[in-house]
Amino acid sequence: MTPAKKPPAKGGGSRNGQFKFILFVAGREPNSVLARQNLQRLCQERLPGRHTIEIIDVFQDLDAALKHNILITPTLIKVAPEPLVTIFGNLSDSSKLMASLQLTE
Amino acid sequence: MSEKRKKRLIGKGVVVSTQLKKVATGIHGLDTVLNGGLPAGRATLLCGGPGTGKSVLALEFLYRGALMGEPGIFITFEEGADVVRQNAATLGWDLAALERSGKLFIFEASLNRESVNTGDFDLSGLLSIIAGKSRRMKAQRLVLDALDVLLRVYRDPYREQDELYALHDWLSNLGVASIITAKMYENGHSTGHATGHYEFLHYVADCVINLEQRVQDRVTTRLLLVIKYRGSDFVRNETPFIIIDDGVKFTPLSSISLNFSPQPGTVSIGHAGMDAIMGGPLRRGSCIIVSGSAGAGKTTIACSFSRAACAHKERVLFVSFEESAASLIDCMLSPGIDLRPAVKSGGLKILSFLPESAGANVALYRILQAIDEFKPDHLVIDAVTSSLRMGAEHTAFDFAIRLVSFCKEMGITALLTAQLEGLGVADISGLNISSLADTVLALRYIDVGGEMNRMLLVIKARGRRHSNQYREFIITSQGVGIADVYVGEGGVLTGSARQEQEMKEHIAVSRRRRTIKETEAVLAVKKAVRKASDKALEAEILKKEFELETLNAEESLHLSGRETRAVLRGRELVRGPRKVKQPPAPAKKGGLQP
Repeated sequence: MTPAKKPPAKGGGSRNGQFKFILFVAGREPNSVLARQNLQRLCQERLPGRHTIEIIDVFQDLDAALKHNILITPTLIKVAPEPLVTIFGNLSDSSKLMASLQLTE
Repeated sequence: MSEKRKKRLIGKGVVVSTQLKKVATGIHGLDTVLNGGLPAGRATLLCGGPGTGKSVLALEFLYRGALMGEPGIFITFEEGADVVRQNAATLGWDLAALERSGKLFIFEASLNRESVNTGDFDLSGLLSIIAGKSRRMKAQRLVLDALDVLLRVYRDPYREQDELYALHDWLSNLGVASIITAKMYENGHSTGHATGHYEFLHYVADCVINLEQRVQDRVTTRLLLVIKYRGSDFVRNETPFIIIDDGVKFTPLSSISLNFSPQPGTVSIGHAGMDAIMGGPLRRGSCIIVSGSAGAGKTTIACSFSRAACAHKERVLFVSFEESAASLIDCMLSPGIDLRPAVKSGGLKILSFLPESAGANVALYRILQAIDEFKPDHLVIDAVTSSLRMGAEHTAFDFAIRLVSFCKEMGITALLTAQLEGLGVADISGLNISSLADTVLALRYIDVGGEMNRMLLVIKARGRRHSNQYREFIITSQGVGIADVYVGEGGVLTGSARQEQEMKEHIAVSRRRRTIKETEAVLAVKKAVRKASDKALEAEILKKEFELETLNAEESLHLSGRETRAVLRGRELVRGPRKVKQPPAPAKKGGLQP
């Protein structure tokens, strides 16, 4: 519901390194709030200017939830770059999160 | 036949309890087991091991509902939506059409197995989908199929319990009649993975149903058991069910075993003599067991009965477990029982299948279906003991009991043949069902003088004064018949020994009759002789009487002559009349003569 879209930062790599996320949340449910915060922090720290985040509230957008088969919230889908990755949970386990996004130091 | 009774029977299935609002499942026989259906607006837990029929049962709940105009949602956590549609198609259900018309929604809720878990989460997405979709479709029914698969994502049994509990709660608030299926054995152990602690749900849920599949003697039986149903009565025993034709079929015994009353009137067993020794023709709607060893003539009696009933424009359903319809008709031509006209006129329907080809429950369902369609007055099962080939002994017993109870309820005469060696009076039916029978006929062989002959005994004829004697049971080219047997020092006599005895008896009888006739004749002659001599004597007497009369007449004439003469002589002047009677005449005469 609150599509906090961040336009790609100027001078950043609008090349192949552009990250595109969809985060499914369940309103103000604590894990959803936490996931949103964790994702934003990660993007600011690791992907400044190289990311877009679409946030979808499953209670508001039923069709999107149906389309993406969202049973669990929060669910993060990395749409780009390939391959598509689905991540459950509030994204607190940052090392796991980094590993699955193939973001290494 | 009795449509009214049938309606009443079917009507039982949709009685809605006053305490609890229910949703009729629409599944054949299940609403009777559940005393009306599933609790409206509540979640029901349907558990069981793999392959017990949970998904099919749950899906049929939606399918039947959709056909009745109640929209439903099927959420599958295990199978793909296409697999669900394909499985349904094998039962002839066109789910796609219902989906198009908005009466059904199938949601394939599979989790991406490669997904990574990075912290705590919940099932809000699922709940959102359910709530949103329910609202849009105005759904009245909901199924969560294989919820255990979804809950595995937590990898924590206690968390699974919490989530399940919350979900159950949430569903109850949603106000949609729902079924949650989960893999679980009767004892509460889930299959496959270690976190099978769902038995706590038995306490939480308002309605808990367990499905089980048992294999006994290579025959599979599916069973449903309602473990609990808050605020409602239900069938408390295991109810067998089958998945056949167009869905799940239950034939609950408890609903059919009660309140039957005998149909008025009687029906002949097909032979007047046999009717007589049973104390009269069979009562309609009663149960008759004809028991005996192979070849004793059970089938012949059954066919003779069928033909006779059909000849009276009655309808007979003949279930043959032993031979095909064609072969049965053919075989019966030899004893002169031509079933062809009965079949042709539509009065006789022969249903033939091998018991091995189907379990007892399938057989029972097939027969009940045929009864429902054909509406017979009488049912023949040849042989009921063949049900022993359909599974364990208890299965066969159950089969027979349910069938007989159903027939009694419907007022259908049931003639069951039972193949049985010997004469075990304690268990004449071969299945321990003789107590259900109103009439029991036993056929047995007897070996006398190098012959095997058949004997018939009426073991039981409830409420009748029946014969307690063996009769010889004879099958000729003109059908069945019975003859008296001879019971003497050497035992019973049948066959040619009986014929010999009959001959002897015949001779003895005619000899006695001849003697009587002779004696009668002699007596008649003697009587005639006596009569004749009597007549002669009488004639003599008469003659003598005549003579005497003549003599007397002459005498009196003589005397009167003398008197006249005396008077003429003036005797009266001398002696008086008294002297007239004295016969002094000879003296005077003498005196005169000399």
